[in-house]
Amino acid sequence: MKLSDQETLELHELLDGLVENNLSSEKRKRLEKWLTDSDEARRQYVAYLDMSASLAHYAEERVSDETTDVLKRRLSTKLVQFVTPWLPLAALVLFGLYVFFGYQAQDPLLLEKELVETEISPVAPGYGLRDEETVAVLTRAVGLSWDRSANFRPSVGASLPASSLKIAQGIAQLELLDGATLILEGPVEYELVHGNAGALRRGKLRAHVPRVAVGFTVGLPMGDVIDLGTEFGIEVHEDHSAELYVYRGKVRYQGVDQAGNYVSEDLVSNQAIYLSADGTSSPLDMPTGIYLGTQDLASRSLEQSQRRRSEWMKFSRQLFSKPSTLLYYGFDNHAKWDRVLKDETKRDDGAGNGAVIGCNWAQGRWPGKGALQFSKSNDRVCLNLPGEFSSVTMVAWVKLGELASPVYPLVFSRPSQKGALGWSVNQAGKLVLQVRVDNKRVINYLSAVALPKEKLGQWVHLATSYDSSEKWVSHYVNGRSFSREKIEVSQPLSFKKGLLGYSQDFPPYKKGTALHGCIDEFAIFDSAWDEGKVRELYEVGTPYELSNSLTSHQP
Amino acid sequence: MMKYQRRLFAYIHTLVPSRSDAEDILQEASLTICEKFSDFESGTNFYSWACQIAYWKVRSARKKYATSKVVFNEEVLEVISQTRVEMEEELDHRHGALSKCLQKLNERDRRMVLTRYESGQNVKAAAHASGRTVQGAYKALTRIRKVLFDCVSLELTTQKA
Repeated sequence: MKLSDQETLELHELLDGLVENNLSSEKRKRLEKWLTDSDEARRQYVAYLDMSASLAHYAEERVSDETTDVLKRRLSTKLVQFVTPWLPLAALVLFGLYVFFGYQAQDPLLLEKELVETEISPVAPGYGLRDEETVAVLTRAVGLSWDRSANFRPSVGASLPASSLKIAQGIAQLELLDGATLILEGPVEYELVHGNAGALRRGKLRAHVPRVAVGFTVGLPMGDVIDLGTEFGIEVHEDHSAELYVYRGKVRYQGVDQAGNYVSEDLVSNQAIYLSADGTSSPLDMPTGIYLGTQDLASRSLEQSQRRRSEWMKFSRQLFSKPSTLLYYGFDNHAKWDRVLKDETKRDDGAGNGAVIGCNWAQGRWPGKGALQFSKSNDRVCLNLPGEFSSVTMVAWVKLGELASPVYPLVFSRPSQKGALGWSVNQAGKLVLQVRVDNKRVINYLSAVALPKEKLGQWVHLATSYDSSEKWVSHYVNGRSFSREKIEVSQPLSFKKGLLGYSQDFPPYKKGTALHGCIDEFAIFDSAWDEGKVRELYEVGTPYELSNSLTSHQP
Repeated sequence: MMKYQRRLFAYIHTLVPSRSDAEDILQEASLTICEKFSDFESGTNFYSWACQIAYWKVRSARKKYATSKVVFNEEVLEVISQTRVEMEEELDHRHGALSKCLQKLNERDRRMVLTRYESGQNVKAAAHASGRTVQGAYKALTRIRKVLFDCVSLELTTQKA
């Protein structure tokens, strides 16, 4: 039966009230009768409600696109802001080179463009290039161990200010903000001066300098090595003598000898010189040592990470087979299309398996390891863990790129039930545990700032334990106790209707915020772990060099 | 399963007009689908199988929460579900056509209607996004939904022709 125009109008009015949830019971009955009696009304109803679902879909798509755009815009703006003050200096350096060395520089405008593009393209939000004092980023390390006298012991991914780096052993790769890449091979002592200059006090360095970073300068005991667009290696021995070898391109050494005479030497591909401690130079057939390049480092780094990964796999196998492990998502061995997140405990025929909604699979802490990326606003994993727990420890390996949203949810359970919990990172970078103790009251346990800017974009190990017998909530970051708070009201915790990476209504946070980050390990244990156990979990699982980097982080 | 999630949500939403209730049921259904995935016979229609599970979730939600989660009685649910299944192909076309019709709206209306449909948002947020009063936003949303519905129907007629 075809509906008349008047009936269609009335039907749409009812449907409008239905989707806005303000339909009186009388009108609802009228709609029900219509849906039962009229095939045409039913078809219109289905099309209308389907349109409502499609609108929700397009709205979420728009939010997701805008979030991506905002992140890109923020990052670009910050990088341009960072790079802009350096442009006049870069132009000055180029002009100086042109005048003094007759170097045929490119159009400065073109170089400025290249400079900006080069900085923006390889963006590593993770490396937190926000601080205007940053001159370089420590991008890779193998077997790195800091010297005992080193005050500054950054981790991989850290932004580096002008500072002194003292490496006892191992290899570190630095990417300078002006474009040069350095491989430092311990024992080595290198002074970061600014984005395009430094000083090698002792040890070995290999530099790859793209054209955009022409003018990169390395200070030596008796002079300077000025790069003119090339790749070269330098070794400074204990007695302050040095060797300089040019792989390709052109390099100028200029300095003074002990008698005060000016020494200047231009070297091209495959040429090497020996610089004695008193500053005199002499040709050298071949350098005495081998300088490791970025590819060598990459392959060593891969070997090392595979070794670490297999250690972690061994450890986690032991962990998830223990009865005390309530839930364990290793995020490993999943296909890209998998929509089931396997609970490795395999309890009750996989009752703990999570349902992946929307998230994409991504690379985890090691090459080949899986992670879930929560990037769209509806992304989440539904998990099921029945029961109530008087004490628990929750741990997760997480990577966040930004702290722009009020909440970065790790796990939330259904908010209305007593014992419901929300575990998240807030906009200030604090770990937050929220526990509902009755119908009206939610208690918040906040850590100190756990995720400062420099940790963004890196894998971070977060853990929070809830100990009802000792009445403490403890927060841990990268295996270290971060803060502890007294439990106000003991309340067994419930993970019913849990959502990983998606917020629920826990004031001040609202339902519906996705993590906008990655998780590649998540576990819940049925007791409150102490620092020793959390630390062990972190140490086995960290993809980064442990070395002695957990002491001071100040330059 | 990801590619079916939108369609599965739309299926549930047709039976359960409250969006947040429909989302809750989608979660429950997704979990069951994962748990029972080994029961799914390959070669058969996954979406139909998933809809069956979702349908039973809707019915059990009705029993569990009386009428708070589900508006309609079981008889109505049954006929709506049947109609929906018959219309699946048309609904796919309507989904694509809606994207075109959204582009035809002016920026202010588009922003308002999409804000209204963001997860966790309401008419108040839509009013704010478009610089309207809440009352004005209700009226505007009614008008926009009608415009979109007619536009989509017209697009389908044009496509058929």
